[in-house]
Amino acid sequence: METELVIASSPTDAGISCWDLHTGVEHLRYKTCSSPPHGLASIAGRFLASSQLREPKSSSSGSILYWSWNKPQVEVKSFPAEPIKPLVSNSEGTYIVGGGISGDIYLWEAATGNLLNKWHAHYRGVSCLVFNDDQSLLISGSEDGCVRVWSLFMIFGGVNTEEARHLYEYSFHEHTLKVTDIKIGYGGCNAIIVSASEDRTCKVWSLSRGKLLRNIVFPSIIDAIALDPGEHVFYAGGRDGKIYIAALNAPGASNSSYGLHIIGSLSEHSKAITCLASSADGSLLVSGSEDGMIRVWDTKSRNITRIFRHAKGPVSNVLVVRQPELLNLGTSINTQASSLRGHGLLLPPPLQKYANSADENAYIKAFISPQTASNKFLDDSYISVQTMENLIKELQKQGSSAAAELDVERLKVEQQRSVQTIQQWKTIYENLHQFCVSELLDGNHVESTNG
Amino acid sequence: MVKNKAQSKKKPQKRGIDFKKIKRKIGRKLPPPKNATNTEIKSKAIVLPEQSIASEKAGLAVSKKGLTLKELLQQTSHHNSKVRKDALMGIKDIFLKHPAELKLHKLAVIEKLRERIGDDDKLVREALYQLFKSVIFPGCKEVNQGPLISLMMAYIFNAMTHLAIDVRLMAFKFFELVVQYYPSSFSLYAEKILQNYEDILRKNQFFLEDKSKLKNTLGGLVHCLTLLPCNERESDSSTKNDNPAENILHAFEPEVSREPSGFTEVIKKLKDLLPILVSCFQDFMPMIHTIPQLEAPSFDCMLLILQSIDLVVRFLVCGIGRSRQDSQTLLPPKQKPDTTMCDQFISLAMLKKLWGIFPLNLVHHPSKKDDDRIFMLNIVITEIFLQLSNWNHPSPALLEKFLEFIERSLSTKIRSNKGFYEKHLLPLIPNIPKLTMRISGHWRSRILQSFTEAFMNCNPDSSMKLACLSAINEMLDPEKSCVYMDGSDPTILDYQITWIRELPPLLILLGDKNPTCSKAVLSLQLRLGQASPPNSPFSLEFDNMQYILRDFYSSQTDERSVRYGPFVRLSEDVQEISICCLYYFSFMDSLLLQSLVSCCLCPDLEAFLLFRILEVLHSAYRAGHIRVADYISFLVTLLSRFQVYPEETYPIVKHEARSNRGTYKSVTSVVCSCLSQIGEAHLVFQMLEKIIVDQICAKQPVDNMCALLRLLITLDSKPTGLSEECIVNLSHTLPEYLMDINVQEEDHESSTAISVKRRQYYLLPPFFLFHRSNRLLSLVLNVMGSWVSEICSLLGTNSQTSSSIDCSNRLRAIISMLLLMHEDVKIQRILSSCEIQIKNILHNLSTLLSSVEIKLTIGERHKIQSAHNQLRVVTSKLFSGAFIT
Repeated sequence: METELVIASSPTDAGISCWDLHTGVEHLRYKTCSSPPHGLASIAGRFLASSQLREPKSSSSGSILYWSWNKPQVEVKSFPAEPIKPLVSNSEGTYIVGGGISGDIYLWEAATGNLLNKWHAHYRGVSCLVFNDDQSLLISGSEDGCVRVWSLFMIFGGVNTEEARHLYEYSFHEHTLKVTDIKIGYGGCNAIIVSASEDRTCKVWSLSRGKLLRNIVFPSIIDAIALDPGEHVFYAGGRDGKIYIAALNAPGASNSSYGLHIIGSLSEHSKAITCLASSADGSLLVSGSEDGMIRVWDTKSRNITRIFRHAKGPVSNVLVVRQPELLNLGTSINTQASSLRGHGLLLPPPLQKYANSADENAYIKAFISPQTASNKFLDDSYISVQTMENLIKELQKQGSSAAAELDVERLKVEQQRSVQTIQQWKTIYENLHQFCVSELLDGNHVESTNG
Repeated sequence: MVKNKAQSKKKPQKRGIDFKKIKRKIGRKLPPPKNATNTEIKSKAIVLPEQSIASEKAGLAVSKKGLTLKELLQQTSHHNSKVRKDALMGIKDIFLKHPAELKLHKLAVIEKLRERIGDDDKLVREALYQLFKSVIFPGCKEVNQGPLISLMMAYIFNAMTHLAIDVRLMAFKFFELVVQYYPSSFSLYAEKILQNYEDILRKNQFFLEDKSKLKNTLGGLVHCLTLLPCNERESDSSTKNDNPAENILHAFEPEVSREPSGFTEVIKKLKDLLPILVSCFQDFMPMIHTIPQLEAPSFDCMLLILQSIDLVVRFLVCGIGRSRQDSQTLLPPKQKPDTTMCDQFISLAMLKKLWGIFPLNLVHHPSKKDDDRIFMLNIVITEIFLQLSNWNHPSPALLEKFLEFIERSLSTKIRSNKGFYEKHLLPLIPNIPKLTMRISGHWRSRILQSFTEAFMNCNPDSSMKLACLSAINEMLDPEKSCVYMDGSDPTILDYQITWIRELPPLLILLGDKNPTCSKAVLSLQLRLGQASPPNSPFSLEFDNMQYILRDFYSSQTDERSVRYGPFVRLSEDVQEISICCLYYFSFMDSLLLQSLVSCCLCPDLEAFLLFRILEVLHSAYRAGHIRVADYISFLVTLLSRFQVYPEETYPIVKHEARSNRGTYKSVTSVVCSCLSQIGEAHLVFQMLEKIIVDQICAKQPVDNMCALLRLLITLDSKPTGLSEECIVNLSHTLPEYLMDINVQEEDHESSTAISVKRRQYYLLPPFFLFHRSNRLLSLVLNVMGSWVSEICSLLGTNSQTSSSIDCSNRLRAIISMLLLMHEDVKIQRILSSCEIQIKNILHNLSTLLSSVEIKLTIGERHKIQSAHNQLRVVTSKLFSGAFIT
């Protein structure tokens, strides 16, 4: 089994903690992080990024911080134009998407930090963002209760942008209060979307048909949801400290005490559940609570298998990620320290505040590559269009100097050849001279002998 | 090998047979073979003495006249029309008596009966019609329809082309009947049917004499046309209506093509039908202009004609919409299906004649009734026009004619029968948003003005109001309309603001009588709150709503009494929406919060909603929509004013014997968690300390006191942060509270497990306080000690006996409280530091008991004595223990 890490952060300044999910060993604790819900993201396993809650006084701009896996200190700081709450990246880490409190969504290119696009997505602040499994659609939830589906093709000005009256593919209004969490299932465009809201309901939507499939009313506000990988059930963490299990497949048979479709609950008399994540195989469920504890549940037996303590304050984010290759555990840090220096420098530059001028963005086109299953980090192979353009220019310049060099080389060769001819001529002259002299001397000698 | 053997074995035998000698003797018969079968048949006549008619039909169903079904069916083709008719009656009779017969012979019967559809005699046809209508179709409803319809249709079509016009008309009637029971049959035969209608309507000169026949035919046509899938909204709503909860999420859906395939043919036929209908309508025109009165049948015919035109137009227009939609979403622009576009395209010119006669007017002085009728016709024509003009651009003059009519009819304020006009204006309202989007300039504002008038003037309970609301919704929702926030035209903004301002008074006016309308208003309000951009005029208007909405929740009539608004009486889903609206106010007025809190205190309010209000307000607070001071006072008021009804004090009648103590407990815990979340603990405590202590000191009932104390200890930290002043104040009220607990426990049997648990619940907060502040405990004990001495002196003097029992009860309560404190381990430890106070109490008691002249009965005295002894034992143990350690 691949090792998985639990990563947690909180809105109070308690840093980011990191544990091994299966052994419970704690790794590095990354410092100075106070993240809002959904504000923590692992960018394709290369590094950690988190949006930051800031004091209302200095709220003119937001802040997003990067940590590399092996250093507890913040490495890169960027300051977007407004406070960013949810932060997400696509699975390959090409793009970083952030939702602002004014309802704008920002889309950056991770490798260069360029702000590729920014659009007004909601009437109020964006509360959560998620990519679908083939990374072509972005689903956003907002404080006004609206859930919208965006296609990256449309965002990047793909086909018939001008004809369409709106950018979004769907806009769902059925939630009456703030959307707290969104999860999406597998199956490309046939997937289901599950959204939770402060109106005490979770709603299941069909992505292909764009309509409401199921509405489940819970006994308390749901702040976090996690989908079972088989999509038989989903888990909903409530403000009353219970994790409800709601059925997705079975037709509504209500004999439970909680309500229609809710088949059970996990509870340990904790404070409100704030975030949920499930391991890749779905056997473990990780929940973060307002009391600062992170509990790991076995979904089969419905028992707690492990408890991590994050901080005194509430936990706002919990992620389960595959252990990145870059992360070195415990003892090996010293031995590999030298080699790590190099990796530390690999973090991309900070995210830009404003978009580039239009001509620079002219290169940007939507591109969705087939998914690669490997966990290899792609920094080395990744080159943006702009950098390529720069390289080509440089190459052209280099080419011209080389031509000059070649010219010199040719001249040199020519010179050498002329030197050689001169030498040849010289020897011929020498020889002739010698011959003439000897001839003359011989003639004299003959004459003298004759004469 | 095996085969060979078998052959070789057989051969010698055969040879033996072959060479057998057969001797034949001439002139002699061969004897019959032994196994020959006797083929002779012998018969005998059976003679029955009598054959009765009754016995023959014994097992069969018969009609009144004693005829079987078979006989009756034979009689239906009798040459005498009277016999035929009687036969049909007989069949009806049989089926009514024996429904099983129908099931068995259904197809056979229909096969025979259908021949009579084209019968020459009117009465026979009528009888047949009745037979089908009342018996056969209702009886065959659930069975396979396919063969039945195809059996019927052949003869119906035949009759439709009959020479006699009456037969034809009857055939249409039959067809209408078939469609009524099997709506799918229309789409199967639509083309042929429409052709037939076309043919018959061409001969309208027949009908001008007999309008009722025309009316029947047209009624059938309208019925058929309504079956066309024409309305986008309807199809939308039908998909929405199916309950999402019942779907299985990952199930496959049956792939049913919604649209029948042969649409193009139908469209062609419908287009042919249109001019005929129009000319049919025109034939009535001279009559309008000549005769003084519009009689009912011709009016009905005109209305039906217009309705069928309307339906045809709707279908065609919807087809355009559909094909445009398809081309927009599915196909790249190059492959747009031009053919269907042209096919379905319908221009205004097609109905030019109709526009020419609009608006209809009676030349002679019309009566009131005629006026209304003409109005109805005009409305339908307008509707047709509006449908069409969505896809065409009418000439300005034509458009103006209609706009004028719309404006006039919408804005007419005082009418004698308002209900009638509202009912007929209703179909126009949904078209208004699209219309306003298309027109511009002064007409836009004129139409909007008249629409606004119509909206304001109509009855709040009417369906007109609902229609107006949905139209407004369309014009306000930024996702549905283009005019939203169109800064270029300030007139629209003005009207939009007028509508918004109209909403809250309407909501209060509606009260709890019309939940659907209230729901529509609130949904609109919610949508407005969600979609209004901050600092826009809309959000300003939305915020201003709260000043009027206050009364929707509750209103303070005078100092003490509160009048609850419609909110408390509305149904749960409406309440839920209105609570959600609260979140979207960018700030909340303290007066609104006040009315909310008195609403929360209403005993009729469901506990579930109370928690919803708390939740929503908490999110609103977190989003910065409520000031801290307002929020705190809301929560504290809720805690201190909440009235707890214990089971026994209120009779069953009023509160269904349901104590709300449990609710109050959870309210307390919710309020505690809300307040502890609003900021850093010690800051919050500093802010709240004084308020809470003041509330505690103002003599509350035990439950509220307990809740406030709980709130205090949740916010307080381990070494108490209470100021000296507060501690002193508390020390005056806490002893009373402790006594109250005891008194309450004495009232009912204190030994039960529940009451012990409840006492624990009450005692926990003061014990926490004592634990955190020893000084508070000693002060409280001081107060108790002074009470004891007071009582002792009171008992010592000459006083009435009635108070002496009271006094002894108090004494015992104090002692038992001290014992209870002693039971708690933590308090026990602190008690040891308050030796002086306890000893003082003990001393007072012992002097009281030893004195002679106190007026106590022996029983009372004994009780106090034993309690005293108990206390003394316990305390001596405590203090000796304290000395040792």
